[in-house]
Amino acid sequence: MIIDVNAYLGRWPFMPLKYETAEGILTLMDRAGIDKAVVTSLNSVFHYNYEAGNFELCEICKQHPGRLYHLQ
Amino acid sequence: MLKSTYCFDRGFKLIVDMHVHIPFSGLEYVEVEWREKFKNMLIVAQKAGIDKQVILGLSSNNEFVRELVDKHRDKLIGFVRGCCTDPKAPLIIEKFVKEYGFRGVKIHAEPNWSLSGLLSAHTIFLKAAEFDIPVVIHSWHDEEGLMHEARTLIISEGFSFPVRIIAELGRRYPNTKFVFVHMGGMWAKALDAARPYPNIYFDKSGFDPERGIIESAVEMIGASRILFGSDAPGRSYISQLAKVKYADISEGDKRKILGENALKLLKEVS
Repeated sequence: MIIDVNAYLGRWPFMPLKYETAEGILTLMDRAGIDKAVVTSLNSVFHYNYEAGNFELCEICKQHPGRLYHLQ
Repeated sequence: MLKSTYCFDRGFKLIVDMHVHIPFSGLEYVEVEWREKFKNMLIVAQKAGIDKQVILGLSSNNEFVRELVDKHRDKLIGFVRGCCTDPKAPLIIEKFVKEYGFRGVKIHAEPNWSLSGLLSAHTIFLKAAEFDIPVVIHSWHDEEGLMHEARTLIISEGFSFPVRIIAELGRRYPNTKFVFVHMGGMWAKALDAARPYPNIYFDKSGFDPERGIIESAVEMIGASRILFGSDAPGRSYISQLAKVKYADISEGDKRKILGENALKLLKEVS
């Protein structure tokens, strides 16, 4: 089993990137044979109201049990 | 002979890494025991399935590059450092091309010279055109009008230059082939600026977040002007190869990026 413990969802603020959604990350994981990923929301890194990014991330991870995880 | 263990099912003619350095410490000095460290790099490259590596001279280490290329002519191709503050640079380039078989020029920031002064390197660009050899330029993007916060996060003073310089070089020197490394820095704008200029190429050696960069580059300017470059030893061969391997592009485009484009640029095939 391969687990990526440092993945990010959301929009990098300085440049457009592909695969920024949960579906995008899962596509990349499937392509590379990665089973699970611990993800952080870029919104909770760069936005002043970082809590919103964290809540958003919780909801996303609930929709993809066994694949995407957030840190408690 | 080591077997390639990590890389691809070899449908490829050759994998050419267009961006490799001698292990260096700062821009001015090679590392202690660099010869031993480079031996290890050769082993790792072979395991990764990389057939040829372009060694880019940094600072005053042209002679070290020459030593390596002399020793490993089947695997290494030398690019001579073109110092933009040295009036003798065109003569040095000529010497390394004619006498030592070097195949290109590398331009980088210098202690008292910023890459934003690139347009002043006229004589180097003309000399490269004379020999029809590519000029590889360190790239990190700057832009007028960026917020202070953005500048602090993404700009590297002295090593960055506005994207308009990429377009200007393409326009002024149609007979010189340029390779902007790190995909031109702020690649979305750099690729867009290069669209009209077929003499501009990019290598995809890494930098800031770059998810999907290969797919984006192929969509914007096509696969024929994208080159594989790892920036080893600063970055790993394998992680940079994986960016191509797992990109959602055709196998034909992967072949172009990993080797075919470089072979054409280096005139190793007709």
